[in-house]
Amino acid sequence: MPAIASFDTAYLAKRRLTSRSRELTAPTSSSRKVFAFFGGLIAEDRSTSKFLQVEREYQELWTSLELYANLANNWDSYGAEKPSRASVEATAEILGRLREELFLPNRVVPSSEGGIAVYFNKDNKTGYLEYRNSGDVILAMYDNQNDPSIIELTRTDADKSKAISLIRSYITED
Amino acid sequence: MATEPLHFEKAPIREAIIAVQVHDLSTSILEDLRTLPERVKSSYPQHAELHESEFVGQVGPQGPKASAHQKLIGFQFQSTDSKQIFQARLNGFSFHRLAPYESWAPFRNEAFRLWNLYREIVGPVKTVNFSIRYINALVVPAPGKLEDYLTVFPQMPPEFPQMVRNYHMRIELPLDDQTSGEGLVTITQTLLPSEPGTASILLDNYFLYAAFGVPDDVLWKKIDAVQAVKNRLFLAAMTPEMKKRIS
Repeated sequence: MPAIASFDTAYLAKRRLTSRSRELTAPTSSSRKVFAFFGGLIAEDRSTSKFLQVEREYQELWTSLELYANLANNWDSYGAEKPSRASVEATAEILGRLREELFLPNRVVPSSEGGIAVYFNKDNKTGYLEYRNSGDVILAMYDNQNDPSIIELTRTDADKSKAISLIRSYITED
Repeated sequence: MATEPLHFEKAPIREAIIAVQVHDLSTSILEDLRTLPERVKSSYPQHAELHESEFVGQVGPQGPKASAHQKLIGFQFQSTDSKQIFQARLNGFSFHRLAPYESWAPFRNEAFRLWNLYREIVGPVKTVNFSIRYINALVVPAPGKLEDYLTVFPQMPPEFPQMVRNYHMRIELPLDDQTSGEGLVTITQTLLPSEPGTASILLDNYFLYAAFGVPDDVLWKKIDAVQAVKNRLFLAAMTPEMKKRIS
């Protein structure tokens, strides 16, 4: 009788973080294949299910995060630091929270300041949450009409909730 | 016939959907649908346009030609907490309840209320089919045996490796119930990303029934009749251990 293997994203992240160069040059790595497999399966039904659409987007964001976890120093050729393990883990945590709340960002990107940022966009509005290698957490919300709002946060659970709430209100209000 | 309500404390339902497909309505109806945001804004303050895109590629003696078209087909509305969504389109209607799902009655009643509003706005429709869909995520310990939790799962001969990294199983079964009529259930299973030490099994039960030109009262009688069918299949797909885990 078949048994289910443990599929755990945290395990994949840890594995990748400890074997960077080999994984980076292996685009057909097993975890990538697993994500691509999920993606293919879920794509066919995502148009009619909000839940499956969120799952699909979450997997794409996770794949991006995995790639950025493997960047080397000077990845932008302007001397940017590679994202630290702590900033990758903090981003993974916030993505997990956002997945539960069915409110995913549009993009995950490495920061030239050193760290990882998640971007939310709607119309001309942008919400931006950056986990820096230094430990700083920066929330910025801006559009093309008003002055940007910039808030410094911490990595606590309370501040994660606060960041999600602020961005959600800003992005979704008309 | 009344159906015994089914309730689990830790219901694994991630999304439940009632959808009705209708013959394409005239595009002039779009103007009427534009009045919907104002009428539902207290409970569904967020709305977005729904577009249908068409890409056509042709290869002929004159060489390749490509064209793309996009047209507005309706609107999607979302509650403040994003847990309830409905779509009002030229080709149909759908209502989506995301977790936490309470029970059939409030889910069905809200769908019915919104369907009536849709019908009031678009006028007469010719229904084509309707569907009820329950998307579940069954979270179980991993590694673990599928047979401990599911009664429907892929069987493999002992010569095969027995550790499943992932699988995708899709089964289509004809249905023929007295009240709901002829239909088709599509059962899909796969594994979703999950927390360490666990596996999250997607169990997607999609019930589709023909409903050619049926009046509203018949349509909703048929929809109500599916409650018993979907409960029966859902319960039968789980082992006692799985039922215990979600109780």
